[in-house]
Amino acid sequence: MRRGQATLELALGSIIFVGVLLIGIHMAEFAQLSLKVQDAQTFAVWEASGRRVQTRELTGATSLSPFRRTLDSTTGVGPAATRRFADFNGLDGTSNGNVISRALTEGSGVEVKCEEDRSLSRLFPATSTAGNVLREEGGLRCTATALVKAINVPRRFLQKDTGGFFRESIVRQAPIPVCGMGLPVNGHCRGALAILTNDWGLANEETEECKLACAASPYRGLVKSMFGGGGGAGAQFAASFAGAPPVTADSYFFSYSGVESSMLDYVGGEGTPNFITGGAGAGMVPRMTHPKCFLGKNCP
Amino acid sequence: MRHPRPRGQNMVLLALTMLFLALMVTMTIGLGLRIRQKHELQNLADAAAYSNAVMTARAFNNMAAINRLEVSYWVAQSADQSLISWTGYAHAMANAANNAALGLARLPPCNPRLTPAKKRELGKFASDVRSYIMADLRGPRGAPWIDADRAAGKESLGIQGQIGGLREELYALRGTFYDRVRSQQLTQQIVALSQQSDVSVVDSPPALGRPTGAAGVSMREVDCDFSEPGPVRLDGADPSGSGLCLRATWSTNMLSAAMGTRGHDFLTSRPQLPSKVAQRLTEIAARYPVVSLVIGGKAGSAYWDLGMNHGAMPSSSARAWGDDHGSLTVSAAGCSQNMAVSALVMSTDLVDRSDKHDWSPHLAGDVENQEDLFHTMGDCTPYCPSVWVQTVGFQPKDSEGDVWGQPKSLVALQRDLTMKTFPWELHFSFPFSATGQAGEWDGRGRKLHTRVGNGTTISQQAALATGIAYYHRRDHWDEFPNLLNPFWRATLAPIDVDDRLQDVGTALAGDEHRWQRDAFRALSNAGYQGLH
Repeated sequence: MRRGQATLELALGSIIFVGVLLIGIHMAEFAQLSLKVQDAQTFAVWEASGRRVQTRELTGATSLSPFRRTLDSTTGVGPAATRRFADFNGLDGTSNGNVISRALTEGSGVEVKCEEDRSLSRLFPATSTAGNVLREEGGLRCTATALVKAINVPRRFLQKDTGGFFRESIVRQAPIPVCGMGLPVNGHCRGALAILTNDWGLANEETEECKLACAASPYRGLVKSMFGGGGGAGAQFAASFAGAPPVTADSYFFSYSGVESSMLDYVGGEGTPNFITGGAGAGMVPRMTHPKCFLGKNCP
Repeated sequence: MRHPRPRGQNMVLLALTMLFLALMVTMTIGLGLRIRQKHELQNLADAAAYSNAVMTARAFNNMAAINRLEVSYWVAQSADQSLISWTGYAHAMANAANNAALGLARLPPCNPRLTPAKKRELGKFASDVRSYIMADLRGPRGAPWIDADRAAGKESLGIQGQIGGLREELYALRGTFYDRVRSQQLTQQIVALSQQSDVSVVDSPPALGRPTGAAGVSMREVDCDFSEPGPVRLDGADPSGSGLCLRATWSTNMLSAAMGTRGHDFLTSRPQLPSKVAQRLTEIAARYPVVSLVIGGKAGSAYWDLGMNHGAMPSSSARAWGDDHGSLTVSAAGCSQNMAVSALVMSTDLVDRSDKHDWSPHLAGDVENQEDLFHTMGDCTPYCPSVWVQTVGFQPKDSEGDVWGQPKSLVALQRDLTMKTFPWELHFSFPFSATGQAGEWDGRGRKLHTRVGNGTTISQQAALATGIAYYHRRDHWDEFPNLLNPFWRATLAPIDVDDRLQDVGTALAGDEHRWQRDAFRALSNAGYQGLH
């Protein structure tokens, strides 16, 4: 029996064993970091969904400046995600540097880019009458990239040119690009996570009640900006034969009575003095059966 | 006998260990990728579900804004009907002054008490009034009055036409919206932008035909008549479903909103006297000291109903009304003649030819103006009799569990794991088994190799996501969802937000998704909530 055979077998086996083990650990860390890149991309998209897209003035004029800020190179959701996930950790808002090291893996260069995507917005534009106040903008797509490389792993070990027997490096020297969506193609991330925002709904102070006595509100202004008037023939008829018309078909009237007014507005005069102008009414479900929590569900 | 000492034993053990280790590494890589792919798929589904809910909210808000605009146009029409009636009332005032003066002079009990001189003065007053009527109200052969009256009537009809145009806009919008939901076009586009060729929409329906799967669920949520295919019912009966709807109940709400938006007393009580005529009559009366003219108070309004109701809660939208009513008194030598004065315009639909623009008292030769042509409204087919342009409303559901009928949007995506292969997805047999049966290693993740459910296909990753369009004002969750206010928003929600967990089975109906349905059911039975 030749002595030292087991030791030799152990030595040879260990070379492969350790190599495979290191690669296994590295790949597990790689997978964990790549999920964070995915998270960064997702964060940007959902951050965009939570931001305002447009605001409305009392005249009803629509401003898209909030959406511009969402895509801005400083205040936008892309830079926000980049800053938040620079350390591959989006749990807190502070970044602990731009390079994160695990046992055998290093991640760096998280970058999230978001840009407007008209292909989504144009799938469902507003009707012609509402086109100026219900703007189609709101679609956006985000891509996220980062670089991941192995550390603390000898790249070259027992290479043939140094008398060993390996021809290939154990790990790649160059960092590997990681994408938020899919795998890189020729080193580039092509897949994007896209979303349509801008539901055209009025929000916050824009939804304030505005009954007949209310002179101005964004809601009132929005509808007024679409109102083209009925014409002046009726007024002309009256002016010619009866007297100066107190109102004309071009006069604009608006009443939104909210639930706090039982959706009723007072017009007085002949006949019935109060009418529902808030929307729901006859044939609808009685409003007071309506609980007051999210989606109208019972409060927990 | 001496057995040879076994050699290379360690090497065999080491080789097996290495194989085991290598498989663990490939499994780590494979699982890592699968988890990542599943996250991607879920992220895509979530983004698509939210986007679809946004699209639904867009559709609803667009419709609400247009409906609210329609209300303003209805009020504009009521202004025209008011002006037409009011101007007729002006004519009637002059007629009444003429008639009252003549009545005083010619009829008992006053005429015996009047001296001939006073009778002559009354006669001259009446004559002057008539001259004014002939010259200023009727004009040469009545043409100015006729032309202006017809123009006003046509304008009122034109406003109805404008509203009809808005209705057509809404119908087109609804058609586009349904098409987008049915074809899941938004979801398809989001998948396309992800550049994931192995991801597709589950049960992607054809462009035409009744959608199934997630698209079918989404359609059921937005179309109140989806569950009852066929011609839309117009009889006012409540639909079986919730969502966008053409029903009489909604027209009633629109009618109420228009009545409540008549924001000027000229439209609701009309105390204003026709100043031009009142001034001329007063001037004429001032020429004759014996004549005392008192133009009484008046009232009037504009509204929609079958009959004249002076602005009461309408029970119908059959006719567009404007009416004025008041009085005028001419006195002389302690004797008075009080005349009731009134006017109306009543516009019916095109088929009904009973349109009226009339005033009282009426003088012989007062202009008849072909009211059925120039004070009519448009074609009401198929909603006759009505001058009201039917529009799209939101039919809620009287159920808190069903979130009051607010529509959810369901998205089901799948990833075909057979389309891409990776080097670490090893599949081979172990030929050295103690039982003689070859063991199998399958790292591809395409079939289960387990005692229970062995052979189940798991090559289709699937992700479900649910969005919901909901109506909300800040601090007013108790305001009921409707299609008159553009307050619709979008959010993600659990698939059973409306207590319909069975929609999982509808969205993932194929055999290849049976294990996912089972998993959903098992989780639900175990008490897990918020599944999506």
